[in-house]
Amino acid sequence: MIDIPEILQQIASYLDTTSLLACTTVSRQWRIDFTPYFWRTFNNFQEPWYRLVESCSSDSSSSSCHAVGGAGRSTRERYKDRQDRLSNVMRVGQQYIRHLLVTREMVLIAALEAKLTGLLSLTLDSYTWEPDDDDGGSDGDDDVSNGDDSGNNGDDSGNNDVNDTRKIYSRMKALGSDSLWDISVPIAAFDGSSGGGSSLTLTRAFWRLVLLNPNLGRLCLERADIEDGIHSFSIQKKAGASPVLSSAGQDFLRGAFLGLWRLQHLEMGLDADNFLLCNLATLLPSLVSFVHVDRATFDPVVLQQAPAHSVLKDLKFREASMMPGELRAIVVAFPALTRLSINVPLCLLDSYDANLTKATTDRDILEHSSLKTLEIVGQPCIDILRCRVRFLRITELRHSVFVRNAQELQQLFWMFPALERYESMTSDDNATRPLRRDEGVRESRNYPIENLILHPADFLHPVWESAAFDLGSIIAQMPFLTQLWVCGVWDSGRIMIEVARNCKNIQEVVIDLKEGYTQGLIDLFVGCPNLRTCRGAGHAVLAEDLIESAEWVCVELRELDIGIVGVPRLTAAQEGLLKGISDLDAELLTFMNTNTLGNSNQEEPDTEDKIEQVRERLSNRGHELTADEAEAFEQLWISHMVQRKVYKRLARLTRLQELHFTLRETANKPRRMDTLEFTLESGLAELGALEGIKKLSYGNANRMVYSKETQWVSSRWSKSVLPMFPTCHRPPRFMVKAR
Amino acid sequence: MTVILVSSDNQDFKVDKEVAERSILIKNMLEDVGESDSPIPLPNVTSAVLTKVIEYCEHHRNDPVQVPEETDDPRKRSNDIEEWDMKFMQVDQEMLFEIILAANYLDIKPLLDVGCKTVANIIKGKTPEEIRKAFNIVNDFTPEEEAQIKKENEWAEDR
Repeated sequence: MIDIPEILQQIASYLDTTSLLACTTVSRQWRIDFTPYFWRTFNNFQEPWYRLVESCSSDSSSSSCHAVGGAGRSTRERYKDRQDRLSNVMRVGQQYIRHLLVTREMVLIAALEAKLTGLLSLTLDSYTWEPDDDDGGSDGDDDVSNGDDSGNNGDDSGNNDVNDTRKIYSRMKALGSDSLWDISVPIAAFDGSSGGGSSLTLTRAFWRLVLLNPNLGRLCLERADIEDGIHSFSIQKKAGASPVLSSAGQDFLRGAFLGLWRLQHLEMGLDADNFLLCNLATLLPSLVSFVHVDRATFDPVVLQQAPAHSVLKDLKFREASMMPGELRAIVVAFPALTRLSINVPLCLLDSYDANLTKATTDRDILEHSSLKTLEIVGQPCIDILRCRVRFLRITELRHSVFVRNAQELQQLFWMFPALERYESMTSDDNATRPLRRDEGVRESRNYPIENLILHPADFLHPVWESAAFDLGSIIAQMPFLTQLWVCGVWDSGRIMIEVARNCKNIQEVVIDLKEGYTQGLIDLFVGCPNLRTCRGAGHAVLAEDLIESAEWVCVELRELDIGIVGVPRLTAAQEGLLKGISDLDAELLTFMNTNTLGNSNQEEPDTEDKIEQVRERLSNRGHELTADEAEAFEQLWISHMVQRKVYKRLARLTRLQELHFTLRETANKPRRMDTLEFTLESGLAELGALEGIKKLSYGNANRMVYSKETQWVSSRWSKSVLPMFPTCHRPPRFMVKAR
Repeated sequence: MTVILVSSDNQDFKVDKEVAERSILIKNMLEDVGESDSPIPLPNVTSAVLTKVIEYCEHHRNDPVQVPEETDDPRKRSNDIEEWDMKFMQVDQEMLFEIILAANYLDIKPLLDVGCKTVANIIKGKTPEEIRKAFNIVNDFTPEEEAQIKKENEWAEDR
């Protein structure tokens, strides 16, 4: 086939292990080519490893629960057989296994028994380990010559199920013994206070496996919990100070990482992560990516004074509050960082006060010129804007920084001068819902989020409610703004006016307008030549303003939400009068049609002339027009003239693809009666000039649209364009994209 | 601006620079040489294969640069080939391997990816015998070797 190793490797990387196994039995050459790839990744969540490991583990758990007498012995033997088989299988693939996931004790035993030494990545997930707590103090000594290794012979006299599990650990203990290996894993490095002795044995055995593999590029240790099999490192607690890693733990890690100089990615907690973070530059100078697994409680002063790590690109905190001082320390310690991810759990906000005091002593401004991505998930980072750091390359912030008012928004743009896009949290996110008093506000604490409980309504963003007063003026400072999405703020009409006045490059505006008619919308059409999208609720424009407006420059407009109001319409009585007359003359309304299609320069007939023509026409049919009827006809004539002019104006936006007439009927307000009637008689067909229309909606602006209008729409554009109810267009709570 | 590529059988292909630069090899060559009209010889690629490669590059001329995905799982998906690419790869096996080799030589990573995915998809789910048939491979194991392999793999076979 192809004998270039890189290509073979790439083909193999797309194959599952079952297919790879098949490949190894195709021919001699294929066996040589594919055998390394079959063994490359040992993951007991994938076949065939799953069958080998998981069925065995379930035997183990059943043995510890149900084994009685002879049945227990049988289970034990079966377990031993399977462990032997797994170890033997691993011995066969020993030279090829590069990626190993350890989720079961027996995988660890097999890996050590097979002496895996070529691992490139090792992941430990000890969540499902079942350490035998009863092993107790006997773990303290490393003497394995006492016959404790009886798990291999299966003829021990133990007659209870605890012994079954113990056999595994005695086998493990042999492997964990210092006397078997050249590498020392001192007991003092680990916390002896939690879990049983066997768990400490497992822990030391795991570290033995780590140290056997100097080529490791990735080492991932999942978070330790009390129930887990893996032990944390020992720590020293001093009164009034944060606990620090014991000197034995520090010495062990220094020695261990000295041999792991190829390590590029490390995920680790085990009470060592704060120590690691502050010493990464000396411990692992080549590390590219570090995940701080446990809660971050590092001392920012210590980190800031440590040598800078000039290689680390990716740093992730699983739990951190990230106060300004901590962020400043990270900026100083990791100048090459390109990605920083922080998860802020709600519980950490309790420590706000204490952290704030040690955070803000430095007043000098720091700059970080390599960070491109800042991700903050969970709760918002409080006070991050006070860290006095400028991130020069961050262009996008999403759900990241908590901004409470307009001044803070200005701070945000100072802090992130290259920002092109900022999106606050959506209403679905817990962090943006106004916290209720029973939801975490404690009477005894100065809980900063409390300040944000300004508005009781859930659907409004409290942050932007308070910020909106200055939003217009801030937007006025953004001449390069191209995209603006705002909703849930008052004074949006002013925002619109400021956009029209100052943001001549604006391309996309999505904004809900609350104050009724706004001149701002017209100003956009007149002043912003690049406008492509203008959407949102409440875009009401007076028909007269629209008709009388100066020339529109927004020739590129593709999507438009607009509601026309102030259209002269007939009263119900006038409609009744006209209906009566149309019974006499069915063609009268067609005669009244103001159609100027195909001849847009044609001068409309004078109103009085037209009424005179109607009077004459009806007179010929034996009906004399009354004064009220004449007035109704005049009103109809004027109404249609206005509507036709509106349609004609809109029809000049020849690039339009979506046009939605959006005056919505709400629970509190009835539908307006002074809007367009959407009939062919009133000039709807003028919109036929818009050749590119793909979506058109006017359904809920006038629910009485006749079927002939629907037919006309279908015949004018593709069948897919149907007059429809406009879809609700909800932008995120707040998003600004600037350029 | 156009560049001229010369295949191993001395055929000239005039292509847009933008298209030719989908190949990192050519892109680097052009950067090293600077502004020049001289043709670029590609001694490892025949005209038939080069025609196909250029067709691919034309179609993907505006694609964004691929950023390698970081994933913990060394195994990758092969069922995400675009429709056009899938049709493009419907060629005889000899041509398929030629395209892969050319993509590797010319350093066109997306084409190499799609070629390798196509080969992987041919292999997936097949028995050894079916794979032999698909790639016209002779089973050169002796019966003894086969028995030995079967015994070795017993633990991994479906039971």
